[in-house]
Amino acid sequence: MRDESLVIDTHGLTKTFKGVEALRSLDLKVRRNSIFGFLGPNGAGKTTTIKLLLGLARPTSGSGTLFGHDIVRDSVEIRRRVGYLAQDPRYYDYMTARETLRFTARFFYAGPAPAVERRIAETLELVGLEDKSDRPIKGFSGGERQRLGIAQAQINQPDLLILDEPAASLDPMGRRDVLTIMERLREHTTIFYSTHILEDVQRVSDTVAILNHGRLVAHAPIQEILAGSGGSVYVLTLKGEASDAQARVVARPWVTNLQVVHQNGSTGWHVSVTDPAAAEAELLRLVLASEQVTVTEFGRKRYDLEEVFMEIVGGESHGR
Amino acid sequence: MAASPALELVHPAGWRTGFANILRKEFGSWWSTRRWLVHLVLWLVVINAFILLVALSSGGPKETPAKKFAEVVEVFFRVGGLWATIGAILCVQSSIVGERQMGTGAWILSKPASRTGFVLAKLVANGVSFLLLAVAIPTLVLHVETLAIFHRIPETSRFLGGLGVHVLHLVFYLTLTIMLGTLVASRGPVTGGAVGALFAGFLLPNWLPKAVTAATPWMLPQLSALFASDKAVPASSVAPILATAAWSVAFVIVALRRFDREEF
Repeated sequence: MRDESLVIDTHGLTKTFKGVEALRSLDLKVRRNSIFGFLGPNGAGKTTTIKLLLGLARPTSGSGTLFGHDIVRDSVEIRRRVGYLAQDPRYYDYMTARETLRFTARFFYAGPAPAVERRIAETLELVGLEDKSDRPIKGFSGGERQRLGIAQAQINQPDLLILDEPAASLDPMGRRDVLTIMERLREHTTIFYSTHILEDVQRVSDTVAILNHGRLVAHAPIQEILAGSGGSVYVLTLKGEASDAQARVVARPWVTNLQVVHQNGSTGWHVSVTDPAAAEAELLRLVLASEQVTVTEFGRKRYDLEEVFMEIVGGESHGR
Repeated sequence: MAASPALELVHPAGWRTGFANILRKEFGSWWSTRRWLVHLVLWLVVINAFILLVALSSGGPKETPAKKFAEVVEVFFRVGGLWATIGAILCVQSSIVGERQMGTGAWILSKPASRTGFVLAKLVANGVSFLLLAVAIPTLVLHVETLAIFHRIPETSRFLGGLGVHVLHLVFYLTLTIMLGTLVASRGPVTGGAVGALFAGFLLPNWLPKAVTAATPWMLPQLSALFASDKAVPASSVAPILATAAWSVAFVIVALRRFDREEF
């Protein structure tokens, strides 16, 4: 039976171009109302996946559904409920932003004209293009085109918004604007977006998948990904003679490893544990039992997504 | 879907999905920009100004107004048969390829739009707009010209017959160019293929058996002039007309099938 909470569900989705596998047996599940970050280096297969989901390309093998509709057979039905922003969006230069949105809106709405115009005005306001709405697109900057791209993708208030590298070509201000719009939209829709800007993913996503060389190498909630694959690690920064404290900590059965790093006159410990609760209750006490030691920092290690990404993708590449 | 209650959703199914919207956009690219004006001026100059020159040029001592009138009508179809055909090819040469290269085709097809509707909208909007500007308006102006110079207009039923053959000739090249646009990825082969087919008509009929030539549109400019004249039309003229119509339909079918399998 179909899981109603799944918006995207693929099974063994594969795409081969002239004998080269761009996408290898992708099993992807995207839950309703999530902001799903689809990561991978250039050429990993992210855009190919998106094109397969939208019916712009046909899978070589495997299958997929969006809202339970087959991506090959029911593509038009799927596209009624989806908004899509391409990686390098192109529109008709002779049209203004408003005309572009009017053209887009007519794929979804038959009228009445005042209601359609109201929706267009709301969408222009959402992306901050209301003052440029009647200028030809020809003169738009990259950031303005991208905002128009989000507007046209959002015009039908889709159940699923697919954004392919929405912030890739933007300056920091443009990127911030796009992320703000995405955060605004998350209340109403599921957002599936591909990117290689990891900082953005860490900021807005709740679930992440990492694709490398056409293969899915990680797929989990962001917190799980950020917790890393090496178990729980606690970080302490110490001053003073700590050899006794080190011996006491290493002797604990829940401690699996203790790594010492010396930096700028202080000592850093990375303590890997099997029992986070025990570590949080006892670790600091064990160290402070030595009177010569001062602890300036203590906490559970927070992985940076970039670290995790490099570990996964780098490891994959070396393993190839 | 979270649509505002005031908005009515569109519900066309099958090939009509998105067709009307794309058609309107395609007509807009002609009539909401200066494109129509450029074509209007171009065809008035190429066809009607040229006809004016022919009409006002002095013929030999044996030339009568009736002969001159017949010559003007024939020139109309001959000029249209060549230059309007080249114009038609150039007009639609990038209608599919250009959309694919620009990425606008992928954008449109990411919306609820059928691929069949996409191709048909291109064909209908470009065909109708072009025929209006390069055939209908020059025809009206021709009538004004002949009325002003010869105080008469061509015989309506014969002229319409010639016009029908002329339009069929243009439709053949429009559909051929659209089809080539779905088969190849760049403009060069599209234009080269269609213009090549047109110019082959000046050379190949000299070498090919008549039966083969009868299965092509190459004799149509000649036939359209014949239809519009007061001369008898041979029964053998039916074959190229039917063949051209059949080719045009076949091109549309091939274009639709090929575009349906296109990947973006």
